[in-house]
Amino acid sequence: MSEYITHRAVYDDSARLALNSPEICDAFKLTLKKHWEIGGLGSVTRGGDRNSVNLLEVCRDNWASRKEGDGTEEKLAFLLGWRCHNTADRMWKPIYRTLQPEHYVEEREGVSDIRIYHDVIVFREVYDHGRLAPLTLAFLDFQMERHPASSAISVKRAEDLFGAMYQRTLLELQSFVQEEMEIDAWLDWVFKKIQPLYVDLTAYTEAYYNPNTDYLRRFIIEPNFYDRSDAIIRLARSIQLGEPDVGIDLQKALQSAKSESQYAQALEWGYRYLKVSSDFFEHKIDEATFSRLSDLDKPHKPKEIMDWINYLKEKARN
Amino acid sequence: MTSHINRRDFLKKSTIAGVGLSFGGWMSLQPGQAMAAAALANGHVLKMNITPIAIADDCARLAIYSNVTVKPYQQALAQNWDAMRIGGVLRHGEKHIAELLIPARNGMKHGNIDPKAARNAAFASGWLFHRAANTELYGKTTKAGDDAERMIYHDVNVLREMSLAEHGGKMAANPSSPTVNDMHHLLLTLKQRTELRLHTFNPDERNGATENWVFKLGEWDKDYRPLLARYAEAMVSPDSWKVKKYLEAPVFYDRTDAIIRCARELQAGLQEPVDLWQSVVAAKSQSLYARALANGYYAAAVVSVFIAGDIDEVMLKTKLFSA
Repeated sequence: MSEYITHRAVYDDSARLALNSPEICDAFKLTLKKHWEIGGLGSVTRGGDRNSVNLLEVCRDNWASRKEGDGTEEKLAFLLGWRCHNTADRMWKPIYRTLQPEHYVEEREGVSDIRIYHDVIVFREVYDHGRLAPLTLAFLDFQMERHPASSAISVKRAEDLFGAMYQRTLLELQSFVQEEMEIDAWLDWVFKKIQPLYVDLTAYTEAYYNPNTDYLRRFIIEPNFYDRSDAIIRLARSIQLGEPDVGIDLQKALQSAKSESQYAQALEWGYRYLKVSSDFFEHKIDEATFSRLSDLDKPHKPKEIMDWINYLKEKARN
Repeated sequence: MTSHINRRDFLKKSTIAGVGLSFGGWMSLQPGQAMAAAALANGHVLKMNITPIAIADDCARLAIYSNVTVKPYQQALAQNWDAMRIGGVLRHGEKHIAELLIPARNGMKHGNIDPKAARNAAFASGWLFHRAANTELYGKTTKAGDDAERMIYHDVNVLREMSLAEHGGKMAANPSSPTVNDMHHLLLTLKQRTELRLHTFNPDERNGATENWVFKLGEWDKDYRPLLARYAEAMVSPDSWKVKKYLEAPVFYDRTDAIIRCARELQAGLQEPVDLWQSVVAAKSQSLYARALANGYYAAAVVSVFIAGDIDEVMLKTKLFSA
């Protein structure tokens, strides 16, 4: 899986491009402007492919008669983030396995190094080391030690307790919690739906402050993960900083992105998914076309990649 | 901690009327109810607070290092910490508590508690710990908005005390150093870091629930941000009237209470087995936090003797739920 920061960045940048494009419907622009952070939640949520058609249809059907606070705009914002999540997954899941197969062949626990390195580079490039919202300067610090308030409490303890509270809240949002059923079945749901806080932040801190040069070469530089000179990236950055570069033509930038850095390709993909969603929302295309153009029937991990990983596993066993 | 009792002593002492704590007559307050009742005046809902989780952690640590509880139960708690912590999510735990513990009891008879039985025992214990916390702290509150403020002030107090324990009592001497904005920013960053740690949200996809789940998550997120601002304010610039009302007047927390001292020592890494009986008895007339710990610890001791086969199901329920 691609990671939290990268997921979020693909949403932030793709949505910026959408906001600045005449091809995207006004409803999307309105909802993004009003509910940007809810889109951010969608960008870090799994299961988007299964729910996109239904959610888009609901929002479309209710759009004209929506009332403030009835959830229509919020659900649409979430959906837009969700589409970007699927972009990032489709973009990088095969790449993780291609560039760091040992992690998947050996079925190592935890997050693969390549995912962490992608996130760290995005943190640096898209969010300027945490100087740009929504991320923050001390985000990847060990126990947030550079933060001006970190000496007033035990960050470790606060993170632990607030994390547990967050975990519990997420569980409480699941509908099964309120349902009457056999206790065994109910508990199965608890442990299926509880979200473990399994990502090790110290690995992020280490990669950020003391990067492994071999990993940088293998995962970032040689495969051209990110190139700040790519036109689509420059356009996204200029919008982010409040002064859209009028010298960059969106369509040309989208076209050239297909042969540029991985991140540029992801932005082209993310924008394309939003454009397809906008077309469906405006009845310009039907459901079948939306599904096809959104790749809803395609796995995030292509069969040939998984066959190759399985072949390597078999080879390692023998 | 001068009196050292073992499991047998506990069985004898805990049956003597008047010696036990206020476990009998517990209100039937479910762990989920206290939080559901807590709505801030401006419409923001406090879904949950950290104090019951901290109490559950303390109770589990006390139970693990106690010489009243049996080792397999201690291991079940230690190896299933997340399951213990999440136990508060259970509704109507009284109905299920025996059912959840019986597999561990059966495992003890055959010399082995399997992982699922251990997990369920930890989960059931977590429910009891949350129940002890919520009953002691929030069972007698009156107004919903009042409850939310109370929870925030409790949380801030507990976080400060736990922070002190981890830093040798030296930190937080100058709480006015960061601004409220700094602290709010830090708490928001903690939220983001938590989202990174859990990687992605797992949506509710049962029976068409997804749409509603999407909406609820967004609403919760919108509410959580201003809620953290209230935490920051209580941390950096506490309202003296609220401090008096929620912390001092009801004696919420007293770091000199023996059972609290013990809990903080264990939190900071004390590894020696401890006996708690005197501390537990003393807690009856001490701070709310001490009483919650004593209640939770007592429940753990009862669970342990049940798992060990010393009492039957009827006695388990009597000791946990009857007056």
